[in-house]
Amino acid sequence: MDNAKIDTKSNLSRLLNQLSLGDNISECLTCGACNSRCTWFDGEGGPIPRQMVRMAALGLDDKLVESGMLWDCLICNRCTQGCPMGITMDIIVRRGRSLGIAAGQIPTDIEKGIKSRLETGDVNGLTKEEFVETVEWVSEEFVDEVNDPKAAIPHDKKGSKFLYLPNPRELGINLLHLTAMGKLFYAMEETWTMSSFHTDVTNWGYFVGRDEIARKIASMVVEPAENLGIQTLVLSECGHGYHVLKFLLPELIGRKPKFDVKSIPELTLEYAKKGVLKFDPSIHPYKIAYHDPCNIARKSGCYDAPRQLLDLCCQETVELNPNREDGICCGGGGGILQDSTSTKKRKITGKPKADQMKACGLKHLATACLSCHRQLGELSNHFKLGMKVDTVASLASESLIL
Amino acid sequence: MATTEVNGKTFEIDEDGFLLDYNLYCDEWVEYVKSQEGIEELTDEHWQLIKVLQDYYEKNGIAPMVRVLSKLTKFKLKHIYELFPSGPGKGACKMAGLPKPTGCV
Repeated sequence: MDNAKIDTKSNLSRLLNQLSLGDNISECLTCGACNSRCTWFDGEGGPIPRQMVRMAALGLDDKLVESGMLWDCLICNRCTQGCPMGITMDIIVRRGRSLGIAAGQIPTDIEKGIKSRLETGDVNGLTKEEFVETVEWVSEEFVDEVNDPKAAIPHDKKGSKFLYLPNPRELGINLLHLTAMGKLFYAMEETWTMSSFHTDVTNWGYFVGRDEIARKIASMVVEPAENLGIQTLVLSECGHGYHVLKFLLPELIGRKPKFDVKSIPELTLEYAKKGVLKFDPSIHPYKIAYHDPCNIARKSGCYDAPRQLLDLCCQETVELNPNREDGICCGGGGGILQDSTSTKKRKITGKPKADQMKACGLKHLATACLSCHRQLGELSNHFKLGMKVDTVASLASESLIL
Repeated sequence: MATTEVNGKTFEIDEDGFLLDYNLYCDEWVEYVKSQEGIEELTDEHWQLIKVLQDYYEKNGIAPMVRVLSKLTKFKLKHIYELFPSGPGKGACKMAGLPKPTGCV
């Protein structure tokens, strides 16, 4: 870059100033710990964390936007975990992306998904009528499966204890996952419902750093949920959905919602501990590794519930190395997976994960996010790892004793 | 752009292995996806599903929702997955020559 003009009053420079423990331009120590922790850094042509922080510190906002690094970042926050100056990368990158959007820079699929989510309540554009038709049809199939006419996958039922917020895939190409979740609720013997007013768990406003969009999408979930009078909002397995709705929600909408928020693995584990749900681990007579979704683990602090649930429904849970707060992103984070032009790139961003999967020497892997689930399955195919990838909740559903 | 060759015919495919030009759909393409999918023998039901997908796509320019696919074929949801283990999108649509599904899939 030639003769760049330093501007410590720029949007990103001021943001960095708020984030950092320091109070001037040297608030980033340029120690490079972030570079050493970025899994992209060893790959080809990815974003360089320290460079991004420096550009923000120096107010080179436009140059950073032009660099294209912002949309390639997985916002997994592994780089700034333990940053000596307390800088958090996802906040910088998301703000930077919002500046990029103002300049017309946004992946087409992400733009389209946000538009659909705001217009129809579903990121894939499923209308309310299509939602109702789909859920009622799946419910019929579900009744056949559990062979109980009283079983159902209900929608819009007021006064239910739980409201299940599905993943868009569970209403589109992965409907079997929805029937598997239905089986868990059925076995809990509690009232539950889905809602045709907000049909999915996603919030892509988070990916693009536009807080007003994230707030609007979150409100589309909160208000109808409160009108239904539910006790607990139950989230399907979705990384960023969990981070936004469980971790960021009060800050985002400016108040506490009138319900609890739990993910389906967390709720399932709770009912197992109560003795309501019982599992037969011999259904899965193998060792299984667990992949920490960055949004659920490092970014929201949930490590143990999915592992404990896996322990109940498989022979043994094994750790990938490194794991937990040091876990490696699947390579599909930050909205990259949702961009249909990224397939090739995701084989590069996912290489460190694939190496880690291979090194564990197992044939089974579980995770608690359907985006990670898809990316990990594609990595297993591409790198010929022969690993079967499942979600934690679907394994729990398979091994339920009814 | 990536290409793949099957029995002397060359096909242009996208990064996920979907056919780029629907008009080039032919038996060789089906053979290729069959081997990719690990399906041993194609039954009348496989062909019925392909035919329904193509008719719908030619009429509407998009793939049908799974519910509509089930209604048109009278196949149960589970049975569609039995026929195409990678599912209606990545398996059946690919074999029928339809473009890759986009969105949160």
